[in-house]
Amino acid sequence: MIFNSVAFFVFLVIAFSSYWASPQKFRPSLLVLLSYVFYGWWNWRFLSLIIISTLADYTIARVMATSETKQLKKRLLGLSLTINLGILAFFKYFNFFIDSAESSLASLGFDVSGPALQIALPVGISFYTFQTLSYTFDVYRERIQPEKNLMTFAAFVSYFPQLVAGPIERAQALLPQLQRKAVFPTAAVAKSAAALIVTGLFKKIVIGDAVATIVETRFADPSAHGTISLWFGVYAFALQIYGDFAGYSSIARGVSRLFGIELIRNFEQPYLSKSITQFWRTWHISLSNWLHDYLYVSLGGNRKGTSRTYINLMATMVLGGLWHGASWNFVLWGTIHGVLLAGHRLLGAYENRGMPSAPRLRDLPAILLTFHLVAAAWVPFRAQSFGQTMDYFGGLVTWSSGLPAARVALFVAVLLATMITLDLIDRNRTKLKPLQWHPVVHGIATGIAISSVLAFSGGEPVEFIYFQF
Amino acid sequence: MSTCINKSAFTPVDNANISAVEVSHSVSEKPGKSGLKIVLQFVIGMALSLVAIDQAVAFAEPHINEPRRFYHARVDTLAVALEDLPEPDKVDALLVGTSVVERGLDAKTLGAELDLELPVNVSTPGGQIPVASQWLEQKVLTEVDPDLIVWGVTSIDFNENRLEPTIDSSDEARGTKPGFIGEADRLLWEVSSVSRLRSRLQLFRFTDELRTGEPTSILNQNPLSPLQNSLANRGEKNPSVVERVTREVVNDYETSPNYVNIMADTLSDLRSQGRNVVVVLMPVESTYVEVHPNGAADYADFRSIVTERVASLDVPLLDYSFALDDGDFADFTHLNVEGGTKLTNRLADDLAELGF
Repeated sequence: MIFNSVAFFVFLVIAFSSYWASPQKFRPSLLVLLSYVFYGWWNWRFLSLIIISTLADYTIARVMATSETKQLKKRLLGLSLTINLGILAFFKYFNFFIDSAESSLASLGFDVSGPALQIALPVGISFYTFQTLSYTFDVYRERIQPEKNLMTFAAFVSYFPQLVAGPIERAQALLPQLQRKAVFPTAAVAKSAAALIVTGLFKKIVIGDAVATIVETRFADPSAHGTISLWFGVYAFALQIYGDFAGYSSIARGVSRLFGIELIRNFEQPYLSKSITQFWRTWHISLSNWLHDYLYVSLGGNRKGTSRTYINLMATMVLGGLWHGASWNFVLWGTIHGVLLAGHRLLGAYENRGMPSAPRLRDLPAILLTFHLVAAAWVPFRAQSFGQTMDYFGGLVTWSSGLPAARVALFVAVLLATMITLDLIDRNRTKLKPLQWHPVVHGIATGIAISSVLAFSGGEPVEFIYFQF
Repeated sequence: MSTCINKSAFTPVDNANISAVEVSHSVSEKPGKSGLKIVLQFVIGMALSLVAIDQAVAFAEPHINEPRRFYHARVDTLAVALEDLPEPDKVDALLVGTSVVERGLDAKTLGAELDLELPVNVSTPGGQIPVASQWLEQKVLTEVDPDLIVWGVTSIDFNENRLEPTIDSSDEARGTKPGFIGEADRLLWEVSSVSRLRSRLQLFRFTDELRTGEPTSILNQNPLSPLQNSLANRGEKNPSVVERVTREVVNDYETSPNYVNIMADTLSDLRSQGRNVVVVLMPVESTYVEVHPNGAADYADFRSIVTERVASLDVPLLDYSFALDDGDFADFTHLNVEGGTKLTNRLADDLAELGF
């Protein structure tokens, strides 16, 4: 079931009504049931994986909390890692590892044929695996106490608004909200939830989906396009992936707010970043934080000397790339970002954590440079093969004439301007207070969003790109 | 249930604070405004913008690009060409199918070999079985009245799991989506210019490269040219094309029982109208067979399912699956000129044998 489908909105009405009509003590169980229906709508067989992860980490954490020795705790953590990463490795990476091993051996002159399995990738497996792993880590590090109520913990693992594409919530943030008595949304909260849902649908359907064809034609055959046309393809994909994923996250937060639960912001206007470091603090924030806290810090972070810091940074970004998918293209994408981050660090640059300030005119060169680096780095992320990536990169840096059709250029420019406007309003939200604007203005904005969605919908709903991860 | 947070815990992110700020904005509504008044003002604003945009689109209608009536520019072109035929009664044979037929069978050669008056090729790109059926029944046979219909098919026309199947694009462009959603959409078309003119507005997002231009600009002085297009050597056996077609078209191949039924129903209808129909299993390249999830076994299943079903309707079937060599193919799925000519001649001989 996807957010931009009619089936989901029917489900949402049923879920909302039944949730608020139920007594508080049944709500965690009801959320689990609703979440399993939501997930099972896509493939009920893979519910078993979520249940295995849930039961395993619930039990392991409970035992861990009563363990007296550090060694036993460590073993239990190892068990949790083995179970969760084992499932992830089998369903997501098995064929990739076999293929890579075959290719490596073939390059050494050995003709070996390993088993090739037809393995379907369970939707959202990387998201809920990381979420439940963070819980075990936090219990191990004694940052939290284990959850006693199985249903509350199951709701934490499977909470449907963020189950298939995040944000990857921390137990400290989500569990208390599931434990406490939920408060029926006030008119103001409902209004803010509706604004998030409408904005999310607009970003997904009007910005994300609309440029898909422009991207597809360029990546299908880069050699048929001139340099400028290929750059427009890159801009279009930057828009597509942002509109798609930020749209999803916005809808997820809006839907969750209707159930009295606040999810974290996953994006903070990343394309307004003045540096690559700032980009990674504003893009897919829940994953960046996860990688920082559980991988980079676990590897030693910057506590073990300069060279080790760079090694840890590269390792984190490469594994972060591989988290997205079992392909060398994602490894390359992660490596490019690792190199850029390392380069930025090498220059001695430092970025404050927290919400970035509103951009000023003098920041424009840095914003444009960062955007172009990030946009070009999307090439391996979007390309279907290493060869296609190299062809596309070749086209971007080798001049060849041939402009995009005027209407394509205009369309991409208008969508970019729209996205930047939305982001600028969002970045300045504490000053502009968009939710306090006059109701007529809200009505006009909603009318524009509805008209745009009407104009750009009509076909089958397009799945969110991040579902495949 | 207890809140089991360690007080010294890492506070997750600034995000929680950000969200709190966001909600606090909305919570602090201006005092003195009644809820009803706010809702009314909101609805007025929304209605104003909806009506204004709708009227603007209606006003601009004569200045927006020609709408797509079908899902692809070539199909629009064929539709215009059929409508403009000077003597539609002369059309006595139709070639129908996907681009595999468009680039694999030559109407003029077939006509010359069989002494046909005006054979035409109305194959549609990516025209899977439901699309070909709709196209034949909703458009082609309302314009022309042929005695002979040659329907060329291959396994991908029946693929249940094709990504973005063309029937969806066709339903979107034609407004023929079935079911409740389709009905609701058609209702919207009645009341909203934005919905009704959606395909025109969306032309902005289609690149010239993909849509190959507007139908009227494609049609040249000879109205027959789109209907009797010559065979051409296009495409190449590029690994990235193989990879893309495999991923998007052959993807998790499974012969759709629904598509088989649709084809059978259409064949029955055509027979009941007194038309002669011949089904052709188009030639396939060896790599094409291999990329099916179960390789040759999948293709063999497809052959037997379609052959049996067509035979049960007493419709002749010519199986050219492995009649040509890989050297006769321009790319992964389409024949080159030499291959197309060979196949057309072979078809002409076999049709003659069948008495046409």
